[in-house]
Amino acid sequence: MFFKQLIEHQIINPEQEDNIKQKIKNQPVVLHFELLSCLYFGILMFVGGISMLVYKNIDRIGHLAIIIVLLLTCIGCFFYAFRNAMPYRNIKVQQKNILFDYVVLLACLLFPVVLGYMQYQYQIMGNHVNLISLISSIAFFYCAYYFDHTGVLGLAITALASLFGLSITPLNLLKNFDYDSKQLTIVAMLYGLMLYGLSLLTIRKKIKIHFSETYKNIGIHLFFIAGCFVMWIYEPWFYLFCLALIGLSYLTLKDAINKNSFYYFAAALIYGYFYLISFLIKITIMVKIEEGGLMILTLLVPALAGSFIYLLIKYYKFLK
Amino acid sequence: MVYHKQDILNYTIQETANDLYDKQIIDKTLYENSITGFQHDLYSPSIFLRIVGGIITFIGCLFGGGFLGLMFNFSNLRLIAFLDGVFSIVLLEIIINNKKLFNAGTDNVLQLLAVGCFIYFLTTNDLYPVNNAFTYFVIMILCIGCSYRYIDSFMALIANLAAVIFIVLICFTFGNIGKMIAPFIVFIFSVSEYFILKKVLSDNEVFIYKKVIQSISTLSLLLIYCSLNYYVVCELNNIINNTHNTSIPLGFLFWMTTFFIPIIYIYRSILMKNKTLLLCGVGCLVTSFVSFRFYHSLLPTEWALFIVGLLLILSGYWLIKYLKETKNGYSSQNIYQQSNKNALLESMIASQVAVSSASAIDKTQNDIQFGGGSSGGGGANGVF
Repeated sequence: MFFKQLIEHQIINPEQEDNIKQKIKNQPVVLHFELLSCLYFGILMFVGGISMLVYKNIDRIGHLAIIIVLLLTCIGCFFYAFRNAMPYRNIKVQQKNILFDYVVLLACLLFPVVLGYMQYQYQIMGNHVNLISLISSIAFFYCAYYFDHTGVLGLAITALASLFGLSITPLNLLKNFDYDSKQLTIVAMLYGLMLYGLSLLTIRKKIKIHFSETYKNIGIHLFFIAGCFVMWIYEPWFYLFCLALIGLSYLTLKDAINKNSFYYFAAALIYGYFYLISFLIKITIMVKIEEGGLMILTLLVPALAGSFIYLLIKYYKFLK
Repeated sequence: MVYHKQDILNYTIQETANDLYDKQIIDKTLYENSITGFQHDLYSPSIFLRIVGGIITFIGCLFGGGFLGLMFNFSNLRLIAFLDGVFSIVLLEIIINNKKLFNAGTDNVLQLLAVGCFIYFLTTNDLYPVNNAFTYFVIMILCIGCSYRYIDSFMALIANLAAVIFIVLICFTFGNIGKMIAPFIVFIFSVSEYFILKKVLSDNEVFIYKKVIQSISTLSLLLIYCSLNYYVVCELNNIINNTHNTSIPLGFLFWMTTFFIPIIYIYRSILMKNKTLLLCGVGCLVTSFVSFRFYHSLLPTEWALFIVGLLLILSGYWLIKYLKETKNGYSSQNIYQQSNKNALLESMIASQVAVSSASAIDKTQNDIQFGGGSSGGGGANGVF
């Protein structure tokens, strides 16, 4: 049908059709992404298996044996990485070997396992356990920039967050994050802001500009998710926080429109929607107009949904 | 169909042109001519905007349903469900007609909501007896209707699953013999479906339903495998009979099919240069090993993870090297445009594993916590 239509509209002629069909027939099936995923999950399973092995057999295998094996693997990977790395540049560096990124990732994943084990066995940091997060984080940042590795940058950001008591892995944000803690939610917001600042700085200083996306992405989500809880925790300042967050969502939305970014446009819209609903719910609770208030709320929220969807459709055309 | 046929046709042509351009099969001029020559005004945004549209609509509908509930004091849930369903369908038709939404999240959620409400309305009543088979039959009919009218793949998938469950439940009404032959009936149904769809796909008339047919076709491949997978058959058997057996009659045959079907998929995919079939085959093969491990655990989890991880690294590396030059129509070289869209996902998974690995050791120290102090995907929840 595709070719029939193209011929009918005189976009191609039958000869071109045969050429394209031949090209399609000869085109190889590309397994690039699938094979890289295979390597990636292999490394994650390998490290997961090693850390479980260490954990389960910590009293049975000789401590020295574990340390030596882990250390040698880690050092081996780092040795390979430093030996084969392309020289550092402020722009994106494409490594020569396809395996390189995965060796760096393996080394960096093993690093906290080794460090954690040494702390457990020899208390190398004494009681200053936070130093492990700090050292890991510094090492990860160094590796991320030196080897130009976005995955390791994610590790660095997570390790630095754990230094402040935050656990910002996706599963923890959903399951274990302490949303009731006054201190943690504010720290999460500030950390999110800091990451956003780093993203701007990265662009301004033109150092690894492609990293700015990772900083901005994690930063914005962390800031706005923590914001959802901050306004309810600090109830006396609810309206202040809520209006400030609505304002910031609006600014993010405008920024997304200016930069033609679907992704941030969608994120800002959804957070703004949540804040506005929170605002309406708070007003309903405050005025205590019982069922009448609830009726108005159940009418206002769908109306709000309608206007947001209208906004989505309207700006989609511009962003297109 | 609720859309103008020409709109959907142009949309599908643009999508095909986009795909061919991405694969560098057609040049930029031809691509641009295809886009400008086949204009449409459908609103079908990227995945992020779809998700956002879906969430916003869902919350809006939830409150809208609450409004209806408050109006009737939540006294007659069937009536509320019926009104909610009618309201969703009317709204869906209006917004599609006015704003031309196509797979935009909002329309998908409204469809689901309408189908859900009508199912509730039809299957909870005192007028006629309702059994499970009838419920799945209703689901199947409603979803086929939605899939046809709104060209929706997801609805087609639900319809297909409902059809399979309906067939199984009908088989169960024939007693023990029915229970025994149910897997084979599902197998025959799925195989016939796959081959019929394959034939239908080449028909020009169904060009606009290409994606819907492709999705059902992939699902039928998975259903062929699942219908004769030992784990699926054994566990369903246990659920039906309320037993805890680890063996089933004709167990050997089911183990054979559990491992042979994926191998046939992989073999056929190499012959036919079919990526979907290959990925289904690999996925099914992995499931087969997991199924086998469920009943015959040869290695502890940590060793299994360690060895499989190592095997994946080695085989992945070997295949990348081996397929550097195209072999049997497969290549490991990225001929498509480089994209950074997986970078965030990569960093998220890596950070999850890193923290989990670190906390596996960290958990052994009761008084000291770092890295968030939690156990995650590392699975280190055993007693030390």
